[in-house]
Amino acid sequence: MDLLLVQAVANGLLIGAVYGLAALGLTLIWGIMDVVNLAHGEFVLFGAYLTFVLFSQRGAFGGINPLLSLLLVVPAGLVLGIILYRLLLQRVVGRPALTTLLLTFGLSILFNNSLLNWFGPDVRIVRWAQGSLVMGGVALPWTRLIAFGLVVLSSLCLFAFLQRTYGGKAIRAVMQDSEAAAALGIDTQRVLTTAFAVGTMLAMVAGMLVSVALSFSPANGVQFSVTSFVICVVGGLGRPLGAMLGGLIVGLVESFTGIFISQAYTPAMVSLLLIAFLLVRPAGLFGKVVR
Amino acid sequence: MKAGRSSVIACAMLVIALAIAEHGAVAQGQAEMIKIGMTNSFSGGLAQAASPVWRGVMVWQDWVNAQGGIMVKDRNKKMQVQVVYYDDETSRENLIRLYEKLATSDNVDFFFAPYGSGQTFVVAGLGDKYKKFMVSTSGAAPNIYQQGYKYIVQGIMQADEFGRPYLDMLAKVDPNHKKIAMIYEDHLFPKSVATLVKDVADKLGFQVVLFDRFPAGAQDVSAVLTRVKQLKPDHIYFMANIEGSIVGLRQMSELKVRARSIGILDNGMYYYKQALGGKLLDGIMGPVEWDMSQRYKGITLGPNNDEFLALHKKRFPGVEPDNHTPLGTNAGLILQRAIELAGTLDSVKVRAQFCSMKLTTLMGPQAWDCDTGLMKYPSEGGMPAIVTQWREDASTVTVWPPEFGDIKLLKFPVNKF
Repeated sequence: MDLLLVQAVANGLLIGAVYGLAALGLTLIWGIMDVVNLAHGEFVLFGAYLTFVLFSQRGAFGGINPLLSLLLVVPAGLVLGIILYRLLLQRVVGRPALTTLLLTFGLSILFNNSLLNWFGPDVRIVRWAQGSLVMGGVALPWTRLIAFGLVVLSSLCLFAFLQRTYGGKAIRAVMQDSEAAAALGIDTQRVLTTAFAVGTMLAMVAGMLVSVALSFSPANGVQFSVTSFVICVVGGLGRPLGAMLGGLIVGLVESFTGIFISQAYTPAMVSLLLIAFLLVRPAGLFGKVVR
Repeated sequence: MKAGRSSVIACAMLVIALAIAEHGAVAQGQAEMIKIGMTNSFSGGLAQAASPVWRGVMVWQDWVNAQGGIMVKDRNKKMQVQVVYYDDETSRENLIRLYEKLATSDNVDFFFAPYGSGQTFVVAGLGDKYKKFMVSTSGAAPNIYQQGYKYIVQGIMQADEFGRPYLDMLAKVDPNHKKIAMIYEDHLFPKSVATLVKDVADKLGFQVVLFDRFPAGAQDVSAVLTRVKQLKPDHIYFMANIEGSIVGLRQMSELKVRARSIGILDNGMYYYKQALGGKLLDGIMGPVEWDMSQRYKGITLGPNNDEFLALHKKRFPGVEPDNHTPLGTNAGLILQRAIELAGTLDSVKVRAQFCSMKLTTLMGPQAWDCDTGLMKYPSEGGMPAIVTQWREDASTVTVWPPEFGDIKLLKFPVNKF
């Protein structure tokens, strides 16, 4: 039983970290511009497919290392975010919620069907770093260990960006009060562009991790969006630390439910978690409670 | 004036008459084809498994038209076949709408069911509604045919027959190791197989240490596999759609879930080797409807394996057929034979042929239960499932049952992972 418990914790934390990074991008965008990006799952898929394409360039054992593919995934995410914000999102920020929902829903359909047309419906796996580290009977897949390490690194980088750079501080300022930030001379449009770009980039980096740690196909876009949404609610909107912790919580809930009850109930338990937070603490773990 | 008005009316009548004649000619031209309607999941969750079946139908269309078409006695001629199809996007809402369109707008003569038990279940009643006979290409779940519908027959073996051979083989080759973990995806086909073969496992004396399910389409099944690992079964029977099996096998290797044998459904599919590679697959085994290594003797209708491959290559160059592809071809062949025997395109009379019709195609011998339209079991002349096993070079060999496979080729125990 002890070994089972340790494996449950290990499984939950390793996958939860990937979930958390995926949600990080969504919570940043949602928190700063009040836009629920329904195309978030497709951004994750973009990162996954880009990694897959690079890895497959010269066959399964001769392609570009997924870690090196980050050199392309990161700038691609930033550029995509900038383009989408400037061309589309900028026009709907501040508009009624239905407007932004419809826009991002449309983007989700467009992107998902584009991926379907380009890559087909086949399930893809990046066959890299196969095997596991076995410690005391607990199996820790290398892909998930590496993903966990990258999540920690990404989180530290994001933390440093938000805390130590002008751009990061500006994002936090706009998140707190956009009018006051503008009054203090902060270029809010530039900040929103940056936030959307960083959020998109984080989603694509999460996609790179998904490509090595899990499997993916165009059909998984909605699943990523929904899981990220739940994590944002659990962690608190616009709270990066909350997103990470929320991801770990969701990962652990899934793992413990699957091992000690039945894997068939994991979606239900995650839904119950969402409902519980909405009822008891709608601001999430780190959100501000408004009385 | 009166003469002028009469001229106008006469001209109008002439124009109308010509229009009807032309439309009639077109309609008559269209009536020369036997139109068969179907949807295929070109996108969505089942696309990976479904599209090969559609390709098989297209291969049959090419083959039968190259023969001149299907002989329809009451028309005294051979009629070419036209398959009308749409993308159902693996969406149940689309299925109903599209099959109704096929029936009412496209005016097809017959239906092929969509891919899979779940989707076939959704449209099974539409054959009765529109009085159009339907052949199910891949609906293995018997409850589809136990709903009392009269216009549908099964073009594949029943779910328990599909799942049984792996257990029969294990009982024979490894009688002293009977602990088995049975995991299944919560989707109609794998669920049907699992529910039915659990009874088979009990009757064969297996000790089912775990019988559990995971959500359809789950990307992470590490939780249930961790439970399996803890129980240390002798055998694992992992029953899922192709996508689920890919996820399961990969995570079994990551979590070092070990057993003397590991069985999956639809073994030998191209997508496994594409996603996982031969090294991981080596030794994995399981039931499948058809395999290239499987050559039935005494084919009474349709192409043999080599002819089928040549036709497929011509129609779909660069695309490999897989184990599901001949299901589509087979559906066309059994419909063709029923029409030929009935001598008419009348759906009731075509359906009636399945009460006595027997034939052997590249998918093996086939016979049907008259009342339900279910495929009979192999002992009664129905379609058999076979067990194949992967090799490290990503090829497969047929190892069971003895009349169709070679048990000497079986690598056992596998002791993976």
